[in-house]
Amino acid sequence: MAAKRSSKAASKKASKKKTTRKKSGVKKTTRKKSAAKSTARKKSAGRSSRARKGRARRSGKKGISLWRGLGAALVLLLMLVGGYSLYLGQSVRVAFEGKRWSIPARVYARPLELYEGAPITPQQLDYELQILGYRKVARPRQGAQWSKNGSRFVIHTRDFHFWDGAAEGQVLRFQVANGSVSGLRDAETGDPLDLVRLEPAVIGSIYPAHREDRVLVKRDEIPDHLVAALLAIEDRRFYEHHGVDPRGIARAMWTNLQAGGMVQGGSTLTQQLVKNFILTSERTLSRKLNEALMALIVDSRYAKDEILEAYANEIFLGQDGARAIHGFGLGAYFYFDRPLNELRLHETALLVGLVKGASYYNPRRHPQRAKKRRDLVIDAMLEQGFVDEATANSAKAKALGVTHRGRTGGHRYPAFIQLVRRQLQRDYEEEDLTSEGLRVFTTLDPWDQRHAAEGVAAQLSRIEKNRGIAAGSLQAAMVIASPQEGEVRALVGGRKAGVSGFNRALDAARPVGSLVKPAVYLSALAEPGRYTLSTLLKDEPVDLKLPNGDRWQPRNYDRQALGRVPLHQALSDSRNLATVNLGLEIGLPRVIRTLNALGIDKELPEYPSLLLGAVQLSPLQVTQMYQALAAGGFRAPLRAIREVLDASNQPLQRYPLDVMQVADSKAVFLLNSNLQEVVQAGTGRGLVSYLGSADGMAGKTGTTNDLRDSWFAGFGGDRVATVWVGRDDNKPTGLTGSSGALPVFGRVMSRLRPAPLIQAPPAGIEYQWVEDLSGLRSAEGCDGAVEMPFVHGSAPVAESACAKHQGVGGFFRQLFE
Amino acid sequence: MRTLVRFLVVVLALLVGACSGPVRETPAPVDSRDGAAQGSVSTGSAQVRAYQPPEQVALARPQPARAVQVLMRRAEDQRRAGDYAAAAASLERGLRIEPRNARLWNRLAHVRSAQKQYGRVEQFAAKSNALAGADDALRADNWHLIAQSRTARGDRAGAALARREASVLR
Repeated sequence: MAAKRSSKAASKKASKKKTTRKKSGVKKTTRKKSAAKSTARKKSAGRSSRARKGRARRSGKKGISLWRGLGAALVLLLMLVGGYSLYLGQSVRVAFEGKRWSIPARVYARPLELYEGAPITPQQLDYELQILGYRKVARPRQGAQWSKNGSRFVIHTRDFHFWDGAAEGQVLRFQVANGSVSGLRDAETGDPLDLVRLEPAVIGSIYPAHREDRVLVKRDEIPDHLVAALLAIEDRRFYEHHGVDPRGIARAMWTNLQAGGMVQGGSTLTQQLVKNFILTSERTLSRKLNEALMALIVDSRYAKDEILEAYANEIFLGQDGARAIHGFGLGAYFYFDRPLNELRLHETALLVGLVKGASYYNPRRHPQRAKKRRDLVIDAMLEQGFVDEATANSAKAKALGVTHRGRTGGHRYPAFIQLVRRQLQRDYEEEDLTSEGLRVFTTLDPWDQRHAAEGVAAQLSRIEKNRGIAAGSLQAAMVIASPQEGEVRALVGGRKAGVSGFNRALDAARPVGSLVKPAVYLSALAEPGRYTLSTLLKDEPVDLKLPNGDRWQPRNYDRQALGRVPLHQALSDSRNLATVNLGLEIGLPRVIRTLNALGIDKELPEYPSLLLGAVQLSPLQVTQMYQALAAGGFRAPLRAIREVLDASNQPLQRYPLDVMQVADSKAVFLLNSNLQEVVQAGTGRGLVSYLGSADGMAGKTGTTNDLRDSWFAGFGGDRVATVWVGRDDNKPTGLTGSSGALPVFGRVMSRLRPAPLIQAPPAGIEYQWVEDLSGLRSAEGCDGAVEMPFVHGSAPVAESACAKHQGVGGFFRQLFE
Repeated sequence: MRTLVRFLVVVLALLVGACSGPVRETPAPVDSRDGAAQGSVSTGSAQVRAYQPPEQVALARPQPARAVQVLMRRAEDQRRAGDYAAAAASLERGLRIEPRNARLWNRLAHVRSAQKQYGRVEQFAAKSNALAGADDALRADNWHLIAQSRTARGDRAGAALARREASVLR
């Protein structure tokens, strides 16, 4: 009791602490102390009691405050760690749940339609399936496989969500003979199929500034063997540990020691995810500790499958120029040109191997390293029992299998994607375009595009070589569109079509030269009372005084003035003088109105030189003009996009077909007949050597002053196209429309086999025989007579001598007409 | 198939004999792939192609008509169900296969008419007319659509003209 009292007096504060602590231990200690104190007092009777007491007090305080300090420190530490965890946990939550990956807009080409009689060749089919990433096999057993047996094709299509709904994959069979599809049937049921579309190929994406790219995969879309590979090589106990795996670290250290290098990492998938997702990539100790702590938090908060899914979509797998490849979904496309679920073991193993270092193990740059790493992954899978030995050996024996170029990089069709982007920007914000995962279905025809790009490049080189022009000095652009609907099928912005750069098809505005003439002649033919195809024009010298005092004296290409020339010949041979005189007679305002109607909506100067094409237009604008002609006077605004869906396949927008009648169909018919003559007998007759026949194509050559710009615009039954050839520095090339742009046009069209132009004469058109040189009415069989179309009642009335002779015969013929 | 061709040839022959001016196309235009349809006359210096009737065009390759017919029927169903965007999309899909099919353009005009988009109605009907050739019934229908469109936009004189054109054809 006495002991208790004295101890109480000596350490009041300590007593409080004592009660909060475990009672038994402290009290015992206190009692021991107090017992010791009294013993000390009793023992040292000779010493001053104060001093003794003081000593006893001091040593008591020290012992107790040490524990106090430790206790305080521990509590403080726990508070700090707790607070920090809360803070980290907040970061984790923000990162995981606030995170919305920006998915760039995906751009698709047009889907290939198959039906009985559809025009197609085996070569085109091969190409279309190749760009879809379909595998050619002996017998198609699953989606994205096809086979060819002589002329018989079997295609197993993938599921695909089109604009108008989801379509399940199916198995088709058909034959391709004489350039068309026949016997189209469902291979499983044998039922004939009326109309099938293949899925459209992805041709590019529209990226945000930071250029990250992903194809998101859900947990159930990650193949089992990929998960197996990942666990085997990166994190065996992923499903068992709590975010950090000390055993894994130990094993990795042991393996690395044995291998003599860094073969295995000790980080768990969770830690790697944290590293990629949330933290920067410093390699400091504090960062490592943070990472471990956050991994623990993540693991406690989220399910393993959620973590795995995030990991699979975040992991960095490669760099494609400025584009960063994140996630296995895109990695599969980037390296193997197909979706993740179609990869085989050796391909998946390669991707998983890249996790460790996408640049170091880049299969395109370092194939041997990549193969070693891939085989290591396969071995790990074998060791863990995920695959058997036979499978592993067979997988290791395979070549890497990566494709040459990264897919959907937008590299192949940058010019067209740029047009798509511009048209989209009218309706969508940049933010939505680049991060909302829109699906954009376009009008691009990959087959047309391929031949346009190759044709331009090859023909330019050829021209340079043949004419001794410096290699690489020429440039070109080409646009191909569908005549009746105005859909842009192909767009080439320069001779290196696959490289993004100055888009000459859209942005190179060049003087169009003689390409403007059809607008002048159309204006004339719209007045059948005054002008017909047989009207004699004045191919006579022009000497004009311009408002600024200058004199304008244009000349014909051959420096001749032929005097009287029939209208159709003046256009066919592109006579400058005849055209200028005609244009001045009609009046510039009318010609300008015609040009505006045909779709040239820019400000046009009212100068006579306009009649010879002193107006700057881009190849796209020229194509718009000739589209209106090709469609019989019905202008359809050139479109690159058909539909847009959002990321969850909800339809957002459709760009419908629209036409507007902008010219009289009879006048356009006459003009187009004349443009066919250009190709048959006029400045465009060189086209015959490319197309095999002059039938079925109409066109116009264009050349500018000093031969700086070479143009050709033309159309057949299913395509209208424009080619421009010139130099970027605008120096003369020495090429006319016939020697520069026409060969490019011809070469491309010869590969595409366009349908011939079939013009049904509209009501009000009749055919009459005319004596060409005089413009007098003639008759069949007369010398120098040609049969030509006229607007009813506008044909010449005055007869030639021969016609008068044939009067009787003519009378009888009229009975039957 | 052969009977059909024979029938068409007979019809063509009758048409050629009976009418003045240019020969009209058969009502189901088909693109000729082998170029056999078009001839060319070159006489002396100037060569303007003499127009020849597209004989035997129907034989040039199998008619893709079935795919287009399916799409037309689908478009009709969609239109009746009030799903006009889908109907227009089906017809446009058909036009990609047969861009010169006057019936398809006419059906598009009808869809737009149901949507009261009268500007479009007139344009599509005019386009259909430009391609309709000998199909008087179709052209009359187009003129009716044009008349309706003009009335809706307050162009009564124009509508009267269009109605007159329609009645002439019947």
